[in-house]
Amino acid sequence: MGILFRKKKVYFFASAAVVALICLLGGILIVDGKNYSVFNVIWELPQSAFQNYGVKEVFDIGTTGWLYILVPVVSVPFASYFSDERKSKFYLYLKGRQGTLHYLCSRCLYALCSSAAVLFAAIGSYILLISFYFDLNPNHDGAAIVGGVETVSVQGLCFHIAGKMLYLLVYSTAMSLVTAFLIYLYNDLFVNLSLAFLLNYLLKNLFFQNKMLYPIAVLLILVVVYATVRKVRCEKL
Amino acid sequence: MARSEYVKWLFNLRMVMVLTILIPTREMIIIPMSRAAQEMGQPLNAFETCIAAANSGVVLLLLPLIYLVLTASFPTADENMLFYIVRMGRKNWILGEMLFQLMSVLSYCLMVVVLIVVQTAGTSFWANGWSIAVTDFDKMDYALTGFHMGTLLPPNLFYQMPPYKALFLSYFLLALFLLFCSMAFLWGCLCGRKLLAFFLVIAQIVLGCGMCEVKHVLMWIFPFCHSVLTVHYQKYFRKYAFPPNISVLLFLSVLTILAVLCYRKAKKVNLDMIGGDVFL
Repeated sequence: MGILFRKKKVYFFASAAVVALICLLGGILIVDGKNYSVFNVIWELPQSAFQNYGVKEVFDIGTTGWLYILVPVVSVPFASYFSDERKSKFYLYLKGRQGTLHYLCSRCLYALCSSAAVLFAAIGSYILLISFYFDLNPNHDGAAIVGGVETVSVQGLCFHIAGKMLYLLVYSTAMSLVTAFLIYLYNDLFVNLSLAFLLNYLLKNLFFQNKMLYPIAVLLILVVVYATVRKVRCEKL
Repeated sequence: MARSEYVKWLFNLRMVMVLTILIPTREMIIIPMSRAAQEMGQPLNAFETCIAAANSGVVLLLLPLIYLVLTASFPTADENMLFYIVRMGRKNWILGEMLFQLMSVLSYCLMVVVLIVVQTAGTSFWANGWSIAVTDFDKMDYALTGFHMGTLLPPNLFYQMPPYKALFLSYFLLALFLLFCSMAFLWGCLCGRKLLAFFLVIAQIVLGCGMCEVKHVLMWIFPFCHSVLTVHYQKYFRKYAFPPNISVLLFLSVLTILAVLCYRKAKKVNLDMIGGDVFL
């Protein structure tokens, strides 16, 4: 695991920076026809202009939408590592020593840890930043809100963030493994990442529903397809 | 030579990357414009989405980056290279490479236009006039629509010229810019600095895009800004911020200089230094 983090640290920083940027560029406010992102709001507007927004709301704005469309960005460090490993044929020594199943499990774990590192670094910094600028419970200045105002507790917010992070983790791990599978079929990182982006875009309506079922279904389909391809390749050999 | 390189480029699996341009284009331009057209009950012009794409910061940043990645493995230097260079001569070889770059740029622009047009072709009209959905959408109550058409297709385009002219000029400038990038990259390859040339070209694209976004006065130093048609015109007056003809002339002059430099350099270049892919 150390090799992954040591050799691909530039990719980790770049991916985390891109994910944090995507979160910060989520559209939050429209003033005089200009769409303000979270970053614009924090940078340009006075605090009174965004006091109607709470941390939970801003967290949801940043971590939905474009982040779902561009989630394969999270898989870049792992995909690059896996691609290098396949190119150098180093995996043959590992497989010979560890056995195929152990090797596959270790790569799944790598995908999970790599996604977790990128997501926790990026979204963690995003949460830290927004918690400085936005209140837990926004002040509506006595304005009547249809349906009433939901009061958010710290515990509730933590559960909400943990749930979302877990979903994003499973989702991005699934996309990392999809990319790894594409590398297994044809090893060109640009082609594989492009296909992962396209596949993710085609399935975005499913992932937007925030149901854990869909990323898990993708993982199960991947296992079946991998087993079939491997069987075909072994028979050819 | 040019044909061989072109066929290799065209049938490379990396061409899948062209399809990824559709993701931001569709999300940021096609879907909002189609929704606006539906709300007004008016069809769009078939080329309006293409024109918006060629004048949008993000899409225009991605287009040259993807093109550069696609052409990063050219000029190819395989085992046959020495044989065909002996047969055709170095001058013909470099002229073939330049012709390949021209052909690849034109094909790339054509692919982008076709990929974008097919998505709205069924519900659009083809006449040379701006649609009412584009010209009048911003007159509607903003609170109801929640979106400004002017952010996608700026008024300083549709007040200044008909859509066919805007389409031609937008993609002509884009093609010249792509040709400039690929020629600069070729020059770097001939100097034996392929990786450095690649990153310098990328850096000038990203810097140019940034300057163009903040509308800094220094933006005209960067070739990127000369490839964006919309920044050449003022918003309300029928005046140029920078005449597009001058941009075309500048591009042509720089391209001529680069072509001459490449031609002269090709006579004495070390052929072992030019091959290989930037991305290993």
